[in-house]
Amino acid sequence: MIAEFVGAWLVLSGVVFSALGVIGLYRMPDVYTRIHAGAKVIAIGSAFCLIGLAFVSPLEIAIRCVAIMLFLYLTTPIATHAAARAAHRSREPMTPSTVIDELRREEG
Amino acid sequence: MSPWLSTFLWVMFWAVAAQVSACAVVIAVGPRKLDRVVGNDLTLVLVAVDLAIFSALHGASFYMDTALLIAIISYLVTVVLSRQIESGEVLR
Repeated sequence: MIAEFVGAWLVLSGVVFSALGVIGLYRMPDVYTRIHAGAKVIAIGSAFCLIGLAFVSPLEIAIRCVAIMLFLYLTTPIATHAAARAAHRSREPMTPSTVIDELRREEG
Repeated sequence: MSPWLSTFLWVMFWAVAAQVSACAVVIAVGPRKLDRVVGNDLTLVLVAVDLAIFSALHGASFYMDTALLIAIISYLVTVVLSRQIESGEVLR
């Protein structure tokens, strides 16, 4: 019973976090901040959902939930880095409120 | 699984499905190519989460294998599309 409550709470937290990230995908001013919002959906929203499901599922499903979560944690930084690098190298415009661009400064 | 948890997970399933629809709109609308790439990444990951919830509801583990496959495809698609946009060869 306690495991079900903990699992339900984690799934609810994950879905709420995912919803905030999806709203951020619409509301953020430039592509860099939208990538950031999207990464939060994957890293926190999905992870909370999958851990919560692991609490309420049979063992064979719980193991797969943890495996998917670990896989997402391994691959999400690579994918978001590739997207952000592509944005920077293709000169995607930044929002005017961005005050520093260290990578551009390093590239000269 | 208790009845309240089953109902709760169905609500969460449809909530994630609504988020998938919102991300699909980002793929369609953009406005930039990388917005579509990020929208595609999120859509596939959220589909994987939706499949995981569906799997927990039905107690069937093969949906989880599909979810893992979709997570792998999501990663590969994002990296490949980003590299192609960066080099400007395919999507331009």
